[in-house]
Amino acid sequence: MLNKLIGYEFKSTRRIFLPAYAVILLLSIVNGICMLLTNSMDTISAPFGVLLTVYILALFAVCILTFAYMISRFYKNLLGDEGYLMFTLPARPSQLVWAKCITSSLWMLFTTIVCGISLFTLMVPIMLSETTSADLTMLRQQLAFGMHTLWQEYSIHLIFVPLLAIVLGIIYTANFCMHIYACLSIGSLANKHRLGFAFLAYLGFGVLSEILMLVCSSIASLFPSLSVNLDTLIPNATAQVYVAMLGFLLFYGIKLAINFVITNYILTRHLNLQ
Amino acid sequence: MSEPILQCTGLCKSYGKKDALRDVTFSLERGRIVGLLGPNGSGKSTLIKLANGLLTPTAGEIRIAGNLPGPITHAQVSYLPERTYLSDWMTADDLLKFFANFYADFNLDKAADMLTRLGISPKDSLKTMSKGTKEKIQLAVVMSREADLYLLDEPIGGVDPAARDYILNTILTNYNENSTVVISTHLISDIEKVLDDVIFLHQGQITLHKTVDDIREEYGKSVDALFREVFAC
Repeated sequence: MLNKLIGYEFKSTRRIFLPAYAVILLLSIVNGICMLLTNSMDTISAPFGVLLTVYILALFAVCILTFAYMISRFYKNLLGDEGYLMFTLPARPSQLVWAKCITSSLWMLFTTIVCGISLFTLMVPIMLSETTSADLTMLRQQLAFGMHTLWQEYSIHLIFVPLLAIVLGIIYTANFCMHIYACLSIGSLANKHRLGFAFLAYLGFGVLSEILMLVCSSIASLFPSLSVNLDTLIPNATAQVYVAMLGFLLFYGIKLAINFVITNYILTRHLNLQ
Repeated sequence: MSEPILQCTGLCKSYGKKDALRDVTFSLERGRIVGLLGPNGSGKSTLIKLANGLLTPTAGEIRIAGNLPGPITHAQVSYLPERTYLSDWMTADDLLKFFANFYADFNLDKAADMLTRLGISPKDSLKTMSKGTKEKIQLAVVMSREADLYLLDEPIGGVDPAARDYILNTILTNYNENSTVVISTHLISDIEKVLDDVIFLHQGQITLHKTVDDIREEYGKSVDALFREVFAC
């Protein structure tokens, strides 16, 4: 059922995102070619200036679109009129929530990748125009040497650490989406002004989080003998990176679980479609 | 005797301080067409939403074929809400595929045939359709399921008399004879001829639950006449 829901979610959203990505990539190619033709960043012509501004605005727009769509899909499709259909499908509320969360997280990931590719595409023509084949050979040799040195220094960690960073990024993004869903679900408990209450819930969580941090740091300052220095505890630098990343992974994993429990509890026990 | 398809026990629902349903207890057998009748604000939609799990009871419980509302009952109940729940980005064909994908009891051929008879092409976008056409499509897909229980909330409210005939005809010619159809409405005269049982709901409480034949025999009048008498302002 979750697969079907994710498939439906992608079908609903791809008609917005794919054309937006195409526009971004097209604009970056056109801007890259313009850069190549003007051949100098010091003499930007008026049409090129406009085109570059449009490109930068489009980059912002696609990021805002991804964020806005994450909120709008949950609010409209589950808590609005479309919820009458979605909540009467033979699916559990948790499956509906995860389908939304996974899809939104993936679109956020794709948006980041497309923006990265787009910026790279923008720079490629200018880089190629100013690079000779000798430069390219030297660059390739330096890259190979650099990678070889890094591999000798860090070996398999050179693969594991970036992989762990990707997983951390996905969990962080999923938690970000789930937190917004938890706030929207809390807002849905109100009979009126649901978005307003959702915003209040968001602010409330922020205040609560600050208070918790303050309490924790106050407690820690009361017992200085308990504080530990990571360098003393784990002298190995690579191990420190792993401990820090796994610590963040655990932290955001717990936050994700808490936000999911809140969302799922409200949508299962206190669904209030009026 | 088989298990009731719908059973409410001491069902209550409040919105803040306002009681929408108060201690509602009744059960429905299979193979009946039931009119859930009452004036506006009497709690008809609330009761149907509770049966679909779209609201949670304040007290008491509601069961569909012995189960509390959830994924199991959603597979058994075909629900027509009072509002349009269709996504505008879909075409008629997308909608049929969506229902076929999620409901095992959906009869795709029947639905496609109904849309053809309505003059709707599979490529037509829902966005460009009128509210009335969307309501007819919604009814077509809901009645194309071979469900145990059909819960139809105000299916003939806000449509012209010709469309009412189409809707009632669609309901009567498409429901499974072993299943139960609950039609919520306050337009009694239009549906009286198709009903087996009626439930009168007034200010969140059941005031009458009888067969149409018993009403005619006992009160010597039609359901519509009795409704006007009971709910006279």
